[in-house]
Amino acid sequence: MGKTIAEKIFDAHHVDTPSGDIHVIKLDAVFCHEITTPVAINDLVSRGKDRVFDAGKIKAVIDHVTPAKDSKTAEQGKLIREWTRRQNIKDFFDIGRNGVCHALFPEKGFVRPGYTVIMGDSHTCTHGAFGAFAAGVGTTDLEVGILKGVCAFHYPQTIKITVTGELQKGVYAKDVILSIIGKLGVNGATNKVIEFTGPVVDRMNMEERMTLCNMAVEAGGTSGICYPDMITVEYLWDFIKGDYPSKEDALKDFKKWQSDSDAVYDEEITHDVSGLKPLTTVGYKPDQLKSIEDMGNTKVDQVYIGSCTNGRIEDLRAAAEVLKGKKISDDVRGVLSPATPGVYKQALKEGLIDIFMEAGFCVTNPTCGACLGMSNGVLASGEVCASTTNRNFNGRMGKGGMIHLMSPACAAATALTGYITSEDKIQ
Amino acid sequence: MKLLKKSIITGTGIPVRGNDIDTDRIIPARFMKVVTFDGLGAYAFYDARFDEKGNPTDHPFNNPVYKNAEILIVNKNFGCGSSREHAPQSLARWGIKGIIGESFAEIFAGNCTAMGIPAVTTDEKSTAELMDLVTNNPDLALTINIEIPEIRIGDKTFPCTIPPSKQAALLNGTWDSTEILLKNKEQILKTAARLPYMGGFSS
Repeated sequence: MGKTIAEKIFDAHHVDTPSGDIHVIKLDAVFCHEITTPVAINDLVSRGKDRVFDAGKIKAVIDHVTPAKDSKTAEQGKLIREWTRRQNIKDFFDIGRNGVCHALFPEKGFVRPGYTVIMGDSHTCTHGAFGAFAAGVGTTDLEVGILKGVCAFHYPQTIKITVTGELQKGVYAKDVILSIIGKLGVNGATNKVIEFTGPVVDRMNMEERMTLCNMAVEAGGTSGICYPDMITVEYLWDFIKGDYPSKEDALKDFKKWQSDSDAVYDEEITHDVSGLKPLTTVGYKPDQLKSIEDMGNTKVDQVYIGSCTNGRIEDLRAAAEVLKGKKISDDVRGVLSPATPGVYKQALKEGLIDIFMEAGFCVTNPTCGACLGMSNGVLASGEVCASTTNRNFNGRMGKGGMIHLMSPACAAATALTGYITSEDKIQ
Repeated sequence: MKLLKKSIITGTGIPVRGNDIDTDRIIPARFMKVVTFDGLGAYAFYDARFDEKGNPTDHPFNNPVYKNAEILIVNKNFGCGSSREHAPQSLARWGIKGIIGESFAEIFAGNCTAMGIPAVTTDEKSTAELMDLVTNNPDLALTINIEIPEIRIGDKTFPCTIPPSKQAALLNGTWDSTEILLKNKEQILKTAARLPYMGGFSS
């Protein structure tokens, strides 16, 4: 009987089966940020176990609130900063080098096919785009990961989603994943891995695959996962060229992390996206969807472009294409947070930042800030935001605020008109 | 090693109705500017408990009849969204010792077990009946028997389920994984040695 990619990764990392289908697996990387990690550090200190399993496999960043906005967030930053120094964690990204964790760490080449990764952050599933098993955990599980380099999971059951058809112009990876969440529902993949495959995924670049995998958790999934291929090799080549004589050799090695043709799935779904139109969310759950063309005159107060879902260079390019030479509505506050310093610099080089600023956008430093209502664009009660982020939960971006999730191109179009608008309506 | 076995949880109940209650709702991110979980009980369901002007709503967590409740009853997909352990920690620090629900999000359920809080599931009909019983009799004690497993309230019993691994962890007192996994050092090293790219591993 064949195996899925997730099963192959689990089997290669198996440490123990303490009970039932629970597998303890060895971790290749433990990622840390300043909101969930300091609590774990303090607990380890209080247990007299202020150690790390392997300083080289722990990567840390301050990204949720940066620069610190008050004494409390400064304290969180201080705690993780001092810990990385104390534990000799070299890959620590502090202010000036920091960015949204799930955009920054892939950019640094920290995720490879076949890896196992945890982080105290639910969008860790993003890294499945590289053919890795990556999952968000709570602080206690993170603490165990930091200390021992292991984590316990249910042996993975997988939902295979084969994405077929041709995406129409103006329809993006964001629309694909929103439509999949719409199909599965917000708990349709609970305790399961979502495997994204098929010709549409094969054609996607790594940024788009990260957008797909990023929102697997919004359907309840443990992780999203894509098969590694030549696009993965190309993205990682600068980091792996010392390990392989050629890209073909790297590809051959990566191919071992693909599901077998006779792998057994919990569910198999074919999802044709040919007729898909630009989507947005309505209400407080990411499976509550509407075509943007059916939104009527839904006015917005703020447009936010950024986050681990859609703050990468491809996203900025798509939005800038819509904004070029135009001004956003006087009634809209436009906020752009390039996800990493690398994205920011590239956008500067390409003239994208000029386009955003000429259009009237405020460009912030890379941070998660506004997405979870912590800083850099919190909503007031009754305000509406068109956002490229991943969660439209009640109050997420600010108490009493309403969030409509959408692609960067539609967010840009919305900023121009002041009401929810698809890209094709902009001349 | 300190083992705290949990087989029976007893207390009065508190129903919080609604499907897909996410962890942002259980504790908004702005209350996560902390470096320990101490004091988070005050912020449980904060934005559902207080309106824009700061006036208390009719949320059950504001209702004095549930002031001493220890068992939370919820509907489907409770705890979805963010992985923040701050969510179950805030409930625990408010006074919750066990949760009964139709279903839970994976990370939330994992966090509960890691904290030694049983999160047991019941079907839709039983959940509705339990919620009604508690609403009409807030002083009536509920018992979650993890071993059977079942829920008892007054002279009624309801079957419930809990994943075997989580059940074993609570019954054996091995839910504190930080302590438990320290035992597995040898096997961890063996697996690490087997993986070609795991150089530099130290424990």
